[in-house]
Amino acid sequence: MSEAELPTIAEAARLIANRQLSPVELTRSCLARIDALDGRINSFLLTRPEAALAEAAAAEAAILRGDYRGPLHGIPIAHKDIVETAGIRTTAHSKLLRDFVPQRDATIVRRLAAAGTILLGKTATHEFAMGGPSFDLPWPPARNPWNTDHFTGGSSSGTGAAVAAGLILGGSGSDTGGSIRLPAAYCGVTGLKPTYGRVSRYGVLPLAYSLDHLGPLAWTAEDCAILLQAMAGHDAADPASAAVAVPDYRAALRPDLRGVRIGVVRHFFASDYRIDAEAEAAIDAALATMRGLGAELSEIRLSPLQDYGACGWLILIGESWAVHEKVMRERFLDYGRMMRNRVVLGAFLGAGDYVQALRLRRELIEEMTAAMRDLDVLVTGITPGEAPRIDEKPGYESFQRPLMMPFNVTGQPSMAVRCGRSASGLPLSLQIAGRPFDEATVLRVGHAYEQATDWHRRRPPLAAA
Amino acid sequence: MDSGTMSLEEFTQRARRAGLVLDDQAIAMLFEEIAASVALMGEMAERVKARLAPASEPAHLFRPNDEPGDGDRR
Repeated sequence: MSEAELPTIAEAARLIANRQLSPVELTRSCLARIDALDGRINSFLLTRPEAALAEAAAAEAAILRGDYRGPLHGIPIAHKDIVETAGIRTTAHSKLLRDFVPQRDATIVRRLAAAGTILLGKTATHEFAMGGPSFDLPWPPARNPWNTDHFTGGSSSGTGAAVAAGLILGGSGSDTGGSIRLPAAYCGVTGLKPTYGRVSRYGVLPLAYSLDHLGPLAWTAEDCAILLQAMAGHDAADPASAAVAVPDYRAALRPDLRGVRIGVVRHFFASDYRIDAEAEAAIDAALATMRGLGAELSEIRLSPLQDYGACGWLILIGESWAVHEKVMRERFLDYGRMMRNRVVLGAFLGAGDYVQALRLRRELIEEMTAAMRDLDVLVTGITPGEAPRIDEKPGYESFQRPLMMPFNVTGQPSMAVRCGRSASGLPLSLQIAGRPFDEATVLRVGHAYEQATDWHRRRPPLAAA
Repeated sequence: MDSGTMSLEEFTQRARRAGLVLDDQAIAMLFEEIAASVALMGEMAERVKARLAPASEPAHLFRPNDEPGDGDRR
């Protein structure tokens, strides 16, 4: 399959529904691309070609007899390897779980399977969704398909890289401090962190209970809408799951932004933390495009980015220590260096500091709620610039550049959308955040912007090989 | 947590109190690797405390000593 023939989920679904594309052929094509390309980007920790082809054959037979389940029927996907899959090894990219084979499916695995997806395998992650990129784990870190010397972002690094390279049409990620949006941004795909509680986390290895979110990464906002439709919904098995009605996300997509009120949080990326000039210019150009599509833009001011960052990181450190404390006490050196050195910080965090962070979180949520009273979405920066070289990424970069953390603290939906390319050809992106449970408007803004621009029309050179 | 520079001795004491099963050499290496991050975390904690709205502090902290308040049994 050539670069031009790499379909989005929406395109493939239309062809499959019209019986112009065979799920078996599509699955075979993706598996061939994995064989040809994944040795360079390490996006998969495990593939299951025979099982996937059997699922694809079953999907094809069902569709041919008129039992079409919808736009995910016959679509090849993959799950981040912190998502439990019954009978399929789930490692969290860690030596500690090298041979762990769960007996249960996570709720999102069950839901996406019920929608008819074909599971190609499990994708690379930072260890336990926290420590990476690491070179001291049983598997190498994923690499950026735009330039394999560069970082993918993490921790949903494998899903981001695999979508960008056209190895899968979409997949799952988790986001505790930016782990869906960062790899989406650096790999030049679209990644949506839904509202806290929108997608069940049952069966997913936790990192920080009150900050963990699950969501989709795909090539376009429309594809994220299709995936979220299947992922979302109340699940009593996840105590944080919200019983909030799930709208028709795809039906909300429009080619224009008439009537959409956008608040630009410029101080986050222009003064609190100053991103590269080319990244800022790309955001400004995107804002002009959005205005041209009919959006009303205004600048708003929130608390400094560093307040959101400090609040979120203290909660994350405290909660991740609570998750890993027992094992870390006993098997500290079995974790990779980056993971253990991050999580162990929780051993030095006082209970009072954690509680004060929770109190500040309440204030920041109130501030954000008030700021969005007359706005539909916020737009702000997402990364300092292009993806750094994988061997140059500072270990604690995100402590000091917490551009995504505000929306983990508040729990509101937030999406990474590509909006340009750096001088060296790597993707540049921006961030769109919405009101709680209003993923539909976030997707609408991302979709309209994508339709008006052509950043999504070019794949990484590696994908065309 | 204070944000000042932590000594190796204090670091070791805290690591032991947290239950980490590491020998002295491993503790010293860990100290070297994460001391800056512990200090950064301390700065974040100080920022959070400084940023919290005074009005949300427990009321007794702001009540003059001689002023009886709700629930005061004096």
